[in-house]
Parts: sequence; structure tokens; C-alpha cells
Amino acid sequence: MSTSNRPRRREPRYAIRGAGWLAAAAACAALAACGDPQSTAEPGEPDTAGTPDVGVPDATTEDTAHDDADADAGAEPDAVVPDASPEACVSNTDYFLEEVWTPVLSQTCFRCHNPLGAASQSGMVFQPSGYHGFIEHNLRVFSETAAFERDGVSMVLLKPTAQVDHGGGLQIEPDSDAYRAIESMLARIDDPVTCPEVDESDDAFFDGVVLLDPDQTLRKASLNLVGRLPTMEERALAAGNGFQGVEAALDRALQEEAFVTRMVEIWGDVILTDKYLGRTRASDLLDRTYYPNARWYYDEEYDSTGLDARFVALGGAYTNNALAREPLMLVRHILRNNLPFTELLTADYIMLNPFSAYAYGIYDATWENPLDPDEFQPLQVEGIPHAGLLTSPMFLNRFPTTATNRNRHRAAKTLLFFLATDILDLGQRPIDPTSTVHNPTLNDSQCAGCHAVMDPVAGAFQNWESNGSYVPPNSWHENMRPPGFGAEEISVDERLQSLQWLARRLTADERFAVAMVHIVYEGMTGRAPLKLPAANADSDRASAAVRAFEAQQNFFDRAAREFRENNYDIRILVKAIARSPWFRAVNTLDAPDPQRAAELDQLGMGTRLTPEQLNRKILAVTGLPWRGNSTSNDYLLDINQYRILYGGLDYDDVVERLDGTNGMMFAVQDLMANDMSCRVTAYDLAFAPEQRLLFPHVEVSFTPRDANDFDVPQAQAAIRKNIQHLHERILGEELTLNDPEVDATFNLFMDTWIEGRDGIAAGELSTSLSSQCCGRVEYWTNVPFPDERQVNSDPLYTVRAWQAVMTYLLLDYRFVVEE
Amino acid sequence: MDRRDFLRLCGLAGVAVSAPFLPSRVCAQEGYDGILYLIVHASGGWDPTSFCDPKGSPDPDAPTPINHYLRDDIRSPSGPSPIRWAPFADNDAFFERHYRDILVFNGIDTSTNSHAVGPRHIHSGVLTEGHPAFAALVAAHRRRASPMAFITNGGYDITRGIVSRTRVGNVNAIQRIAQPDLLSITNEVPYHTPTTQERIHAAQRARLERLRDKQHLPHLDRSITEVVLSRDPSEASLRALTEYLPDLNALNTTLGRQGALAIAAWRAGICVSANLSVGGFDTHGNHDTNQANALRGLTQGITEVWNQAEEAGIADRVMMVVGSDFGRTPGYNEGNGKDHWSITSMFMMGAGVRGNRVIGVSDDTHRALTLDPQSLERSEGGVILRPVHIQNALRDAAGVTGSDLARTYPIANERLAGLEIG
Repeated sequence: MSTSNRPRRREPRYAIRGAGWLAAAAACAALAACGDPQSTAEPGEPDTAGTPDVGVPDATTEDTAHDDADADAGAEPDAVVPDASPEACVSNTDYFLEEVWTPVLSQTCFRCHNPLGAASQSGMVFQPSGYHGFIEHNLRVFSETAAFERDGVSMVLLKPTAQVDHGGGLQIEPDSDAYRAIESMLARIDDPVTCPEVDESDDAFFDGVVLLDPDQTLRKASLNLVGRLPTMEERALAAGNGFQGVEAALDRALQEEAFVTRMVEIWGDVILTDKYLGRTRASDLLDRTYYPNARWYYDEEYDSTGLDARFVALGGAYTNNALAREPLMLVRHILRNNLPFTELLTADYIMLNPFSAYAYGIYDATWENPLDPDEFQPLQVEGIPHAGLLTSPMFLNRFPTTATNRNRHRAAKTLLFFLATDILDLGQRPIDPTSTVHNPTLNDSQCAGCHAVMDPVAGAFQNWESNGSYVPPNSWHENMRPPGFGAEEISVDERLQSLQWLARRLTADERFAVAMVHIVYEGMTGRAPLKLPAANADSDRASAAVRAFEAQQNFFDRAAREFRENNYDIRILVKAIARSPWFRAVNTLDAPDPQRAAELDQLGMGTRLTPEQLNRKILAVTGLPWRGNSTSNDYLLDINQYRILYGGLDYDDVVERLDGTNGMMFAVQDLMANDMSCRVTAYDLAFAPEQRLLFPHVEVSFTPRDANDFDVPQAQAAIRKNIQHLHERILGEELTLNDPEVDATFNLFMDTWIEGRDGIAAGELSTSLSSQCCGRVEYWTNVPFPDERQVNSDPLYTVRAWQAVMTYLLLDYRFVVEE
Repeated sequence: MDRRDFLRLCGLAGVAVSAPFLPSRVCAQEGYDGILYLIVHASGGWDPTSFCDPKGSPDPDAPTPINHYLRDDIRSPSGPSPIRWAPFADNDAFFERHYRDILVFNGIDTSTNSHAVGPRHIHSGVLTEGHPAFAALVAAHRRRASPMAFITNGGYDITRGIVSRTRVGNVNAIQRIAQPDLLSITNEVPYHTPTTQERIHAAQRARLERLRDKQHLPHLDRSITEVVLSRDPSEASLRALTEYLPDLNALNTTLGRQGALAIAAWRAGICVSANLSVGGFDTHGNHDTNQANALRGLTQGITEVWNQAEEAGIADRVMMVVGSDFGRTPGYNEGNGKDHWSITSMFMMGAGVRGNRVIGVSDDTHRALTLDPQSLERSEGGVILRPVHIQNALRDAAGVTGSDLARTYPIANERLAGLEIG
């Protein structure tokens, strides 16, 4: 683990009320009970000590709570509520979606008037919701048809009411609500209603919704995007400048490597190429005909004479994974160099490190350190017309093709990932297995709708074999649509660079930006973009869902436009999502009525943190990772421990993150909370107060009652103040000292302390701390704390009472779930 | 409010927008001992004509054979039975062993050739998005609060939030998390005293109640409720699960290992349903070899699961539903493969299933033929068997029909009067 991600301990910043007013802490008489806190193979189980990490935490940056004990906030987020807006303007598009398309056309006309339907050859063919922008398309088609009239009555009224010849017969009764909705739409087409663009915070859809304030938004975004708490400087920016300050703080934070890592993680979930990490999984994919050195490090017959012996020795460890991570290293390269995200497809290079370059037959590249596996640079493989991810052998293998599939799988993924177009959505319409049409993908209307979109793109992959090798064929299948994009064919001159040609068209398409919005939004929120309700949903729920869909589409469109206008800067997009109500909504002012509740049904994240996110948060908040020892794997990331149980991926068979929380996940949370509270409580208390992350306001000697069982007000006040601090640090809650939540946590501390005190007095409980729960040595350096600071026993039972508090807070909903 | 109402509320929590708060202990239900539903998915689209809906070639020299075996070689069991199978893979051993227990559905029209759609249609009865899998529906209906009510190993496992999915990676990890209160399992040293541990959990339950009382956004309300339900006292159940788990390394098949976990979880009283999944059926190339390998994995796996159920003495409590994305074309492509075909088969066996039967029929070119809805015999002008018919029958058999959940996620009320599973 990089030491740069560790939470940094504070410089002394404020005075702690004197520690001398109670008896000094009891000496660590039970030192023998405390072993090396570095080591546990299983959580809580002792093992051998690991090699200490050489990193030393900086002691520079404040990163914690307000010092204002009387901040008046309460347990509920101190939130922003959008002002209620005046009666909303309804644009033509919105009206068409809400009143015409969803309740009427999608239920009736679309059954036949779709690319696969009986009326697919008519002049009015609607697109399904799998196509981004289908509403605009369908409104345009509807408007064009509406222009045809007989005796002054539009065909869109005459046909469905069977007043003229209509293949579908009577579909809509005259004088019905549906009929009137179409009439109103016609009036709107004649006299269009356009609405001023609104910022989403003013959007009527969010009336009465409680949003995170700037400080809370900054905390959430920082944890989400860079895996740490905001610094005091960043919080000051947010406090002084509102959301402008949040953006300024994020501008800085998003330049950190942690953000790059987060984006790579999000893209890893999409392209799933981490399947090839380990062994020779990636190098096996490279065709030895074209890349004879692909497994040079593994090939016993390979002659490595003349190579640096160190290079050869490291080859086995570093070649395969560099090959596997090549597409994700392109994401990293783009972000590190602030390149437009279109580079994802237009990059005319491949990302290689010294070892993988060798596997690709590149021997003359210049490296800063030819033994550094993390030094990737953009290189060109001779004879290969690179087109970013599209020509990545890993990407091409992860989404393979066969002789009969003819790259359609690759085309479908390309359309989904880079144009937000789910071609398989069309498959939701039934097909007729009795059809005998020759070459159905070309000629059968059941199939042609999908294939007209998919097959030209599939043809653009023609030069890339199933194993990802570049081997241009002599010709492409004549019984398929010609290679191209939409109606545009690839010219003969450009056939050899077909994917470069395609990449230019994909990135020039407006849907490219929308696709990036979808991916980043889902990665940040854990929530898939909303879809229009199914046709069979009941009308009240459907209309509510349409409104939510519409609001989200409006946001996506705005975010996509901002992304495009800023040269496809992904950081701009990330900030747009972070400041949106879709990221910040946490409650409503009042309980909504059923209709409003249905509208808001999918608002708010409520997403259980992924194993990776929870892993980062544990470290950020407590200062220690959850792992056996300082050099072992983190439990939540280890596939042999809890990564899969906790809903993570193996990128091979398990490729979809589990949402929700199940009993197994709770058991993991329970273990984590118990184990981390054991590891961090005495440990944090062993630091000087001003350096502590968790317990800056108390000492182990601070007991709430004295030996005569009288309250010790000063100690109780300090305990409350520290509880206030813990709620803020761990849960992001700013509470007053007399908040009921502080009371509840204080009572937990108090009851536990009394139980322990009485248990020790009765000889039923030990004064010793378990070895894993002591504070004896600094975790990262293995350097012992000064004797007077070590916390190796607990004669006053305060350490274990704080441990109970820590378990309680680490198990909390607001710690394990992102609201 | 009586116990039945409590359980109903537990089942509904997370579905209804304004479900009342459900204290964990209130929803703690005794161990589940109803039927264990194992939904087996042959991923990629199996070829029924190589399995339970055999279509042989009329002669060895047929120019475009639907299969490379001959019609005359189609097999039937030694005892009286309408079940027939292809002379392919390990079909002989499988059907001879199980035919008395098996109910086959042939000639099912999935109406799709899409991998994204087929599994959904087969296992929910609905072609379009938006419906939970049957396995999720029955788990939510029976024991939503159980910590492993619905285990998934793939296949169509959409839940729509009505029940949590559980996925298990390394089962050894379960042994550790089954005892989260212990710092040292070996020495049984706890992190906290038992009294403190319970105090922490009680404080957490009260805290969740306070959070939920203040929460009005439906999705966040559901999210909190889900956390509440996940915290049903489950450690004892997880410990029991680990005690019931056999040595997985001693099992030979993927399905066998997946089934072992589901059976162990069921015996621990915490599992209602599980998706088991095995792949390799998308045989666009070299069909006979690849499809046979996949079918061997399937049939040997099912038998291994069944053996475990019998050895545990619970075979009469286990129901298996087996299906695939769709079927494969009646004939070979130029790569000796078979492409996607919308007609398929399913079969069921076990608890509540009257076996040794075949429902549905397809013609010699593997096109679905119409049935009389009452007699289920071939009938001109009848109806084509579709997934919705089978899912309605499943819902009926599982007692889900008419439940609040079934009403929330209705499927078309299209039934074949004669179609009864039991």
C-alpha cells in the first residue's frame, strides 16, 4: 500500500484540558499480556509479525472535526433544502414523454410501430428506450407523421381511431383521454412550448428534498473519490465559499493519485479485463505467431542471453499483469495527463511497461527505470493501427467473437459502453420462431432492427481476430450490412484502419458523452441510470417513474454537455455529479404522500459501500487498515477472504456487484467493527493527544465516576466531547454535546464502563488487554511508543469501554452505507 | 398483531414505500424448514434436441441434419415413460437414474434469441425488465429476513430489492465470520464481554430505529430496513452452516459444490432458494463436442446435488427447476456449431413434482406445437407453451400466487388449466 494514502496525524493544534486532575494512568503492569499488535493472520488471531512498512506518517495536516463544541446541528444532516419553485414549465418533450408516449403510444402504437414490428415498414417507426435520445427521436417521428392530414385532421388521430384505413384497426377511442392527449400534443407541435433551462437544484422535481450541505458534500465526495476525509483547509474552503469552495477543494483533491485509482476501479468494473491478472492469463492471449515473445519470461526455451539478469528475474512477476492492465493503464494515463476522455478510443498507442513492451516485441523504448513495473508509457506496436480500448487485445478477448457471431458481441458492448445504447433492449420484443425469411439478420424485420445498428459496427472490427490479433481479412461477409457506422460505410481506403475510423465517429457522437455520464454516475453512486417503467406497470407508478426518469435524463444531458464543452474532462463530469441532487439527496422535509413517494422512489444513494470503498474508509477514519499485519492483504480486498462475500468482483465469473446488505455481509461488518475497535482504540490512545485521530479529548485515566461512585463532571464532559468528535469523524455527524445521539453513545460507554469496573472489582474480569488490542508500537514503523505512552493494560476499564463505543460506531449504518 | 401479520410485514419490508419499522428481533423467524428451491441455469443456451427433446436425423446421409445422431437411436427408459432423450453425452445414465422423478417441458417458446433476455424470461415469466426471479420471489415470500434466504451463483438473479442476494466465494471465510464476536476462535476469547456485545447490538438496533424514523426517502428507508433485516441474529445460523458443509474438495462438479452450500444453508435453517449455474452451452462452434461437455457438467452436477440431498435425508424437501437461456438452431452452421434458437425445454424434479411426465411438444424441426390447455395434448388451434405458463404453475405450487409480492410483481394471468407440477 502506498504510504501516501494513510491518514496523516495532526500537528498539535489545540490544548487538551490538563490530564493531571485525575490520577495518572495506572502503570502498564500487564505488559506481558501485550504482544506485537502488528500481527494477526485472521482478524483477531495471532500470527507472526510482519515486516514493517517503511513509511512514516506525516504529522502535518489537520483533517478532523470542528472544535466548536456547541455547533448546533443535530443528528440529521445540516442540510440544504431547495426552494419550492413556481409552477413548473412543461416543455413539448416533457409533455410528449409524460402524457403521450408513456401512457398512450408505448402501450398501443409501439407494439407494431417499432423496428421489429408489423408496422416497421410504415412511415412511423418508434425507437425503444434502449436508444439514448429515443424520446427526441420518437417526438420527431410523431411530429412528421402528424403533419399529414385529411380534412384538417391529423393522421395521428385518424389512424388509431380507425377513421381511415389502419393495419392495426381501432387502437384509441375518440373522445378518450388518450385521444385528447394526442390532440393537446398536436396543439403543442403547432405552438411549441419551450422552457428556460433550470439548474437542477431549482428543479421542481426536488422540491422538499433535503440535500447535503457543502461541508457534508465535501466529506462524501472526498471519501467516495479519493478515499480520505477532507483536510481542514478543504473544509475551510467549503465553509467560506459554499459549493464554489467544494469545487475548489475537489479541484485539488481530484489531482491526487487516489482519484486516478478510483476511476480505474470504476472502469475496471465496466471492461472487466482484470480477469487476466495472475499467472500467464494475459500473455496466453497473445498469438505467438505475431508476438513470439509474449511469454518470454515463462518460456523455458527462450534465450535470455544478453538481457539484464534482474530484468529477466522480474519478468515473471511483472509481464503478465502489465499486459492485463494495459487498457486500465490507458485510463490512468488519460487522467494523469489531463487528456480528453475521447482518448479512450482515439489513442493511437498502447500502454506498456518495460516488461510488457518486451512481450510485444518493443525493445528500443527508453525508460526512466527499466525495472519499474509501474512505469507505463504510450507506445506503438509496429503495424498496428491502435484505437484505444477498441484495439486492446485484452478488451477484444474479454468481449470475444466467433465465426458466426461475427463481432456482434463486440459491437453490442461498444454501443453500450461508448454510446449508451443498449442494443439488447430490443430483444425484449418477442420474435417469431416460425419465420422462414432468408438471411433474417438482413431481411427479417424481427432481426433487422437490431442488426441494422449493430452489424456495421461489428464489421468495423473485421480486422481483429477472436484472439485480438490484427489480421485484416480479404473480404467481409457479403450477407451482412457493410462495415461502418449508421448509414455511413467505411471506405475501402480506410478498411485497414477501420477501428480508428469508428473511434472518430463514436467520439464525435453526442451519445459518447452521455455514455461517460452513465458509467461515472453508476460508479460513483452504485446506482444504475433509471429506466422508463415497463409497459405493464400500473399507471400511477408509471407516471411517477416517468417523472423521475425525466428529471434524471435532464441532469444527464446537462452533465454530458458540460463534459463535452470542457474538452471531455472527466473531472468536470465528476464534479457535476457530486454537486447534483442525485448525489446529495438524503431525506425529505416531510413524509411524502404516496404519489410523491413514488416519484422519489429511486432518489438517494443508500448504497452499501463496496469492499474497496469500505476498505479505504476504514483506513481514512481510523488510521489503520483492516488486515492481518502491515504487509498482508487487506481482508476486504482478498478474494480468499471477504471480497466476494462482501459483494465484490473477481472479474471472471463474478462480474456484477451485489447491491444491498445480506446476513453474511453483516457478519463481515460485525467482525470488522469488533476487530478494528480492538486494533485502534488503545493504539490511538498511545499517541500524544494532539496527534490522535480518534481520542483527542480523553485519556485512559478519564473515568466518568470516581472511586466513591460520584460523577466526575470534568471527565464526563471530556468523554462527551470525544463522543461528539467520534460521531463527526466516523459518521460525518455534527452533533451538539446534548444531542440524543451523544446521550445514547455516552450511555453505552457508561454502562460498559460500570460493567467492567464492577467485573474487575469482583475478580471476574482481567485488567489485561488482549495482545491485539494493545497500543505498544507504531503500526507502520514497528517502533515502540515511549514507555509512558504505551497502553498495554486497562485497569480502569476505560479502554474497553471506548472499544465498545468504537464497535458501535464502526457498525453504524452511516459508516457502512453511503447515504 | 398476530405472528402471521408480523411475518407478512417482514416479508413486505422493503417493498412497500411506507413499511413500518421492523425491529430485528421481531422479524427473527424460526429456522426455515420448507422446500428448498434450487434453480439450475444452463448458461449460454442449451440444445434440447441433444438432451430431452431429441430430434434425430432420418438417415446418416441427410444433407442438413438437425443432429448427427439418428432418429432410430433416440433413447427411452427401461420402464414405461413418455420421456425420451438424445443418445448424447451422459444422458443415458442421467435419465435412467432420474426419469421417474423428472417432469419435462418441451417446445417452450422463449420469444428471444438474446442472452440478456432469455434467462429473464425463463426464470421470471416476463420478457421485459422489471421482475424478480422466481427464486428471489419465493425467498422473499418465505423468509426475507433469513441471512442467506437467496443464494446466487449466477443465472437470472434479479431481486428488485425484495430480498438480499448472497454470494459465497471462499466458504472457509464463512467459518471466521460465523464467530465475529471472538477475537480468538481457538481460545474462544471474545472481543467484548457477552453482555457488552449484546449492549452494542441493542444500541445499534435502537440507533437504526431512530434513523429510520427520521427517514422519508423511500429508497433510503428501504436501505435502512435491509440493514435491519440483515442483522437478524445470524451467527448461530452461520456456525450451523459451517457444521453442515461437507468437504467441498471432495465434490467433483461445479453444481455439486454450489448445491452443497445451499443444502448446508437450508439445513441451518437460513436458506430458501439458490441459483445454481453452469456454463459452456453457447456452442456456436464445434457443437457436438462442446455441448456434450457442458451437458455432462450439468447432468453429473445435478446428480451430485441429488446424491447429497439423499444422503442428508432431505431429498423430499428439495425441488429443482432446470432451464437455459433458449435453445439452439435445428442444424449446424459452417463451424459445426449451432446458433441461438428461441424454442427450448425445461425440467423439474424433487419435492412437489410429479415426475415421469412430458408436457409440451415440438416438431421435427424443433418448432413449438400448440397444445390443448386442458389436456395438454397436441391440438391445432391450441396454445404454445411459454415461460409464463410454467412460472404461473411454479408460483401456484410454491404458494406465492395471491401474495402481496406476487401482486406487486404480477405476471400475465395466462395458465394452462391442465398444467400442474404436482
